Amino acid sequence: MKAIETINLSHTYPDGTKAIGNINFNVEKGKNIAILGPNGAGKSTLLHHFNGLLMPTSGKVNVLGQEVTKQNLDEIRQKVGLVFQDPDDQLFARSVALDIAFGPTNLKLSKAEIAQRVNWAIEVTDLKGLENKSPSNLSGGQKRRASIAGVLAMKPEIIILDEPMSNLDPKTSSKVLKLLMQLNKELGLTLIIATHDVDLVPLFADEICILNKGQILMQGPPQEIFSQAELLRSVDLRLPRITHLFEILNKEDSLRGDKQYPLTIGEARREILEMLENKK
Amino acid sequence: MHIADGILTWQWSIAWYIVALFFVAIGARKIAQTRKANPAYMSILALMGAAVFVISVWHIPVAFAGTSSHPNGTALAAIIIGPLATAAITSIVLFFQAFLGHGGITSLGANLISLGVVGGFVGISIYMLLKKLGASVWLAAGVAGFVGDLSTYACTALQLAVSLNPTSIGQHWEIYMLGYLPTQIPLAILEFAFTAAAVQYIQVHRPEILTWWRGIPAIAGAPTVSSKPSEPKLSNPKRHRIDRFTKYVLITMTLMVAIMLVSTYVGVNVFGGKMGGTDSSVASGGFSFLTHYTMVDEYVVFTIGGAAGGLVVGYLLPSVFGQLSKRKEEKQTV
Amino acid sequence: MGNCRSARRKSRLFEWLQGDPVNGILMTLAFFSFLIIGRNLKLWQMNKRGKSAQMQAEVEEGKSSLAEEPKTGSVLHRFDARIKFICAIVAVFGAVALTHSEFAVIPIIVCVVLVIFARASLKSYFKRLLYPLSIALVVAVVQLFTGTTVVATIPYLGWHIYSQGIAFAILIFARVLAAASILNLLITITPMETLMDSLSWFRVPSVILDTMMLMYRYISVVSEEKARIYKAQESRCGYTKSVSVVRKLGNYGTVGGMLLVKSFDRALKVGDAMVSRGYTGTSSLFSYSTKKMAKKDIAIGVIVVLAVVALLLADLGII
Repeated sequence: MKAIETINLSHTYPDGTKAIGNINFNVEKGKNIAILGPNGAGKSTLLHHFNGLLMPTSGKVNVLGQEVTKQNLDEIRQKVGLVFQDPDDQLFARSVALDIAFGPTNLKLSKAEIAQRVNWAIEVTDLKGLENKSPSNLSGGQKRRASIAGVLAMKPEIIILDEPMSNLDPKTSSKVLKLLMQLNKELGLTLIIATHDVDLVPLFADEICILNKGQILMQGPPQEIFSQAELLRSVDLRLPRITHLFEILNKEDSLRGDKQYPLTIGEARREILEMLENKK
Repeated sequence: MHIADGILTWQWSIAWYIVALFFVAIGARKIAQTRKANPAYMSILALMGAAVFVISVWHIPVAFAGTSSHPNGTALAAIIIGPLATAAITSIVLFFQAFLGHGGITSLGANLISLGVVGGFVGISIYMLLKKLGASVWLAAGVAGFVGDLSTYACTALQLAVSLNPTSIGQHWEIYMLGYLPTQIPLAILEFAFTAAAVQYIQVHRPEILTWWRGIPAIAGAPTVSSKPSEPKLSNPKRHRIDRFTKYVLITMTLMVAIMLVSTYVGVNVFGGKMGGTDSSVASGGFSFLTHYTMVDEYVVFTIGGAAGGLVVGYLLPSVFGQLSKRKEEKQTV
Repeated sequence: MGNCRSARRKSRLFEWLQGDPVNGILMTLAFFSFLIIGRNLKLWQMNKRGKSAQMQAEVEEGKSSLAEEPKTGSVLHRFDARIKFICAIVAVFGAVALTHSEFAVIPIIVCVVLVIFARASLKSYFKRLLYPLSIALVVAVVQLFTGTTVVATIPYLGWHIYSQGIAFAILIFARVLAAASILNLLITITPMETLMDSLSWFRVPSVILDTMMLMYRYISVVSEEKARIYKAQESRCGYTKSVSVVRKLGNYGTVGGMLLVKSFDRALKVGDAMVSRGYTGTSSLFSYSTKKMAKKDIAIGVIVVLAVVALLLADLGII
């Protein structure tokens, strides 16, 4: 089943700026998809359509087989959670627990249900002991996890994240990434992650969608996308560092054949070991 | 200028509270209505309120007074979020400030009237009026800040006089105004420069922020629309514009009248007036310099004299300046 | 009639000028020479304090003093905020209604004792008292010249100081000090968040409370942003001595304008974040805690209120 499907989606802002045009994008349920694109490619505009924050000027958006209209916005927003790039934009309540409770309260749930969901979200995102802290006193990583918890408490089926790993130090960044993987694997959530961190993408994404100037350039599994290095470079993106290394090894030093380049450190390690093995 | 707790009598504190509650209630009602139409309104209001609060507790060194002071920001707030919302926001700001040692709890009502209501409404009216007259945005905003600040301070002085010296309100009003003059004049100038520069910046970069509160989009989620920076709009050619000369003459005139009024106040009423508040034989305040010219004839003569002088000079000026500009043109062509 | 009045005024106003011009000359000379001396004194002080101290002050200013967390732990901190609030309001109104300045000493001393008991910083406590007192000073000085019984006259100006005026001035000063002490104590022993939460119990409209909560949340964020923008300008010499005063004020205004634009952009995102989590604007943003008051706390609250009433009655001479 398709989690999200757009059909000829276009959006033009009232001032005449055409942000995205004729987008046909789709994600299978339970998949983990990365939307890659340079600055100003229309990533945010596209993501805001999935949650009904923006309505298409033409074309349509289907969420879990249901078309997004003004009438079913409440339902759509419960099913599709949106995590903003700057956690300070999202955490507006005076304590973490209250902020997590904001979504469930809007769903008009009972008090007991709200409390249970808040506790669950706090547990999943490992925020125990910070419930009553003010968001302004949290660290960057804690803020990020708190904003994910706020969306999680609405029990969505799809979570959209706008640059979730930006402005974080490497360790915190990998912790957030682990949390996202866990959400995807254990809870079966569909994740749509907008980013321009090319190195991280092969680590988590089942599929990659390249967006440029409001158009989808290509969509497919990481292996397929990263085999087209020239195309990526033409839209101001690049290969992952490790892939780039193997490309150089191939082209400059002709060390290996026309095999698929490795995308992650793990794959690269395996291949190097193999090469050493063969030399012997 | 914030009145602290304990200065006003408790009867007047409560009276001002009642008046203030009326305005806050209207403001709150308006916010609630707008919130229904557009849920995102709350965030804009709160963020702008927070920014105005931060500005209002920002100590800016004012070099020529040797001290630092902080802008009121109410005229600025009225320009960007509207006067009614300003009244509601000011009540919150004053509540916070009361706990920072500025103002107080019992005097909150009185402060709200002088700052939020008088300052805000006077500020926005001046701004609108000057813009209608064709003044540039920064000038309108600056004058709004200046006059808004002075009106706040006049209102505060009146509140003090009414509460503390009910037997000679007019006279004490002037005395209080003079007492705070050394701190308030630099503040008013600061307010002028600050409001003018801030509004000018917004006008250049994001002009829609100055007008959004007058036409808030009524569709859920629509505000994202305005997050796209729009092109600065060209001025409407139909709007009546006055030329630079008239503008400067108007400014000069206002300034001169202001200086004359202030000096008359200082000269006549401070040194000559009797300070005893309880002495009812002293006529209460006002511009008593008018008593120097009680004869109507004198007014008429002066008015006609002024009008004739203005007419003659005004008539001669363009020809003189015209010749000058012609000469310039000739020089350029040569 | 008008002439008569103005003549009287003139005679008093220009008496010293007409009598002996040397007076005026001496006064002018003294005034301007001391003006120069005073200014140099200020400059010398500023140089002594040094640039680093100024920068430090700016850094501290960037963080709103509202955001500082009061040290928790003492009994006073844990006391029900609503009762503390009621007690404080009653006490402040009581202090404002005092008619004898002697009685104001009692709340002032009680407050200082309680601050020490709560182990809060006395320095910041007294610092917060400064501003209300400076406002009260002008009012008190004006009051000196009101009344009927003359006790002294200021030379040259001919202004009379009255005994009633002195009494009233002292009373106002005492009231301001007492009321400011009480509020100061309240904020010292109560975190702002708790205080705002308790406001909902007083039936403050949810629109106002929501706005208040949001504002409180973002004051620190906006404040940091302001400090950043200011630093960016300062690092490019926006506020050095060579920059003219007008230019400097303009720069300050530009920081304000940038701050407002940034806040507006952030507000749009915050609004999106609210809407994306199902907020429709029909109800209030937050839910407020409605804890039951402890009986012990209520009893203490009643005692405090009674004490204030007793003080007032004693002040009026009834007890």
